[in-house]
Amino acid sequence: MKQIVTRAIVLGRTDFGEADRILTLLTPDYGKLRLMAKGVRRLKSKMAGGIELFSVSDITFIEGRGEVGTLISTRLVKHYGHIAENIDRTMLGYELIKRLNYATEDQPETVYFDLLEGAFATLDESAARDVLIKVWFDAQLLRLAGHTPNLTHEVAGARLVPENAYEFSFDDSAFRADANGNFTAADIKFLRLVFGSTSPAALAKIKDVSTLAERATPLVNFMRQQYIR
Amino acid sequence: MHILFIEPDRLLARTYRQALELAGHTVHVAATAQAAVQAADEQRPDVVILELQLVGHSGIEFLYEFRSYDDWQAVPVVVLSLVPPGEFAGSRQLLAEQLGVHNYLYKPHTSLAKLQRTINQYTPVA
Amino acid sequence: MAERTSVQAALSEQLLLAVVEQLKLPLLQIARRAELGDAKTLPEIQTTADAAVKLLDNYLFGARLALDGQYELELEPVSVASVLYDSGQQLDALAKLYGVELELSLGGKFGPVMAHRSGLQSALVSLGYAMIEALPAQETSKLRLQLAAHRCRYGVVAGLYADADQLTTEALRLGRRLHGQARQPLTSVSHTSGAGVFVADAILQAMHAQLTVSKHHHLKGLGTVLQPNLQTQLV
Repeated sequence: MKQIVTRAIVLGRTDFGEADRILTLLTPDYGKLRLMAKGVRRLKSKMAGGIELFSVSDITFIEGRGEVGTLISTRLVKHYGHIAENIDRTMLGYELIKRLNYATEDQPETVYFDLLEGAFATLDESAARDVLIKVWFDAQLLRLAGHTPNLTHEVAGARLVPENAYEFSFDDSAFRADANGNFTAADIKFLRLVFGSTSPAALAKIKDVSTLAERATPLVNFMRQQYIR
Repeated sequence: MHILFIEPDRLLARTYRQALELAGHTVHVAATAQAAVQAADEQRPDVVILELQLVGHSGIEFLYEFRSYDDWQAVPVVVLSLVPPGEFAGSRQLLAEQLGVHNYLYKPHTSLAKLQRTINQYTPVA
Repeated sequence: MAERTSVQAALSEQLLLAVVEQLKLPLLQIARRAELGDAKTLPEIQTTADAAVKLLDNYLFGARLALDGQYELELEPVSVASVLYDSGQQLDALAKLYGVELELSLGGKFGPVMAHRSGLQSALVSLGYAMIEALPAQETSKLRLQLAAHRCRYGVVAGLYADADQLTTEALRLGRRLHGQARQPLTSVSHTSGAGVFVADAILQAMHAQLTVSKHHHLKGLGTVLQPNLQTQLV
């Protein structure tokens, strides 16, 4: 049977039978894989085996007849070791993995692998606040799933203008002018940047970015839960 | 009880082990996350005491690995750490719900006697 | 000059945070050991307390340089072997406590190098304490630490070396950026703030030297390049 080599990020691990583990992996070229790692259960933890979390590895595997293939070998390429030294950041890392896992039930494309790896790199080195990284990540999941809200024109069709206040219409995935609305020009501008940026590190220097991110979070979070999972 | 004590500092580990053994427990000390998983595999612990600041892999990563094994999902875990509780206030709920950690002890505020009292809560009923 | 002062002040703040965090460990060790109430533990308490005092002392040495505006230490001809030996003497008790075997390894005979003797020794001792604590906490480390010197193209390298594959130039670079901010700026090799490493860094910088990741035989560690005393070469 043909052996395939690819880069991979671990999304999860579970027990299987007496001696085996099943890994869920995200790859750039083969989407999401479920692979059996035979005989590794309890022999030693795979934390040191190249298929640990917050890492990118090169893996060799054989496709299975059913849904689960077999993992042959792994080689650690990069371990984002600094994520784990801050607890809130570690938990955020796991949360992002979980969100991406839920959002990619169908076979995900390369962009999802790039998104997760980019998120790890940001978490590992960046001074960007957790709230910013989370809202950016959710926005990217929405964008990749084709659910970017209308951030240029309101529901009625007029351009969004700085003088107005707006409220968000989930049915229309767009803003509606509302004198008592909660969203200002600054909020909408921030949302444009969050949906449009390839990295949250680029947004970290925006003035009052934490406040803007906190204000955007309920909206983006709700959209993610509604449109993705 | 058999205690798996995950503590990277050799001197602290020796002190804690001595105190717990004097109280009648058996203690296995592991300095790293990997060694801790292997130790748990060799002898299932009745309770795990865990420092979060480890070399290479953090205590949280250990917990995710540990809880991914069916047999160990119900093992009580007490965090005894140099990390002040306020530093991960945002994650407490997640830690409790996902990783089953309900007891946090801050090392500078935790005497050996307090540790002992906490451990005693997990004594299996005969 | 003003810019340098503010940079040094910032470095001092980061260093101070790292040192304060680091001091929790020996004080905890002392407190818990004393709680056991066993008279046999007194020598251990003494060694731990001594290490804590020396860390503070070495930090103050570096911090005073910054606060007094003395960014540069006066250099003089110094015997590398002698400094390494004396540093080893200071580190010996803590090494024994941690079960770390301390060795001296001199790759040849060296003439004097230009250094600030007490600064160099403070730096090496700071570094040594950090590495002694860190080694037993690593996954596959052999508990052996070498105080060593060898020649390189640029001068004489003096430093501390162990079986420390995870210690990379990238890890040190990130550590320098994160110390005082991250709990474990050298997370791949140390479970603590690694203050001793950054105290050594600061002192060496005042000697126009730098801490770098280097190899000594098959061991990896942290060392600094020292310039030979050219005057003796002219004689």
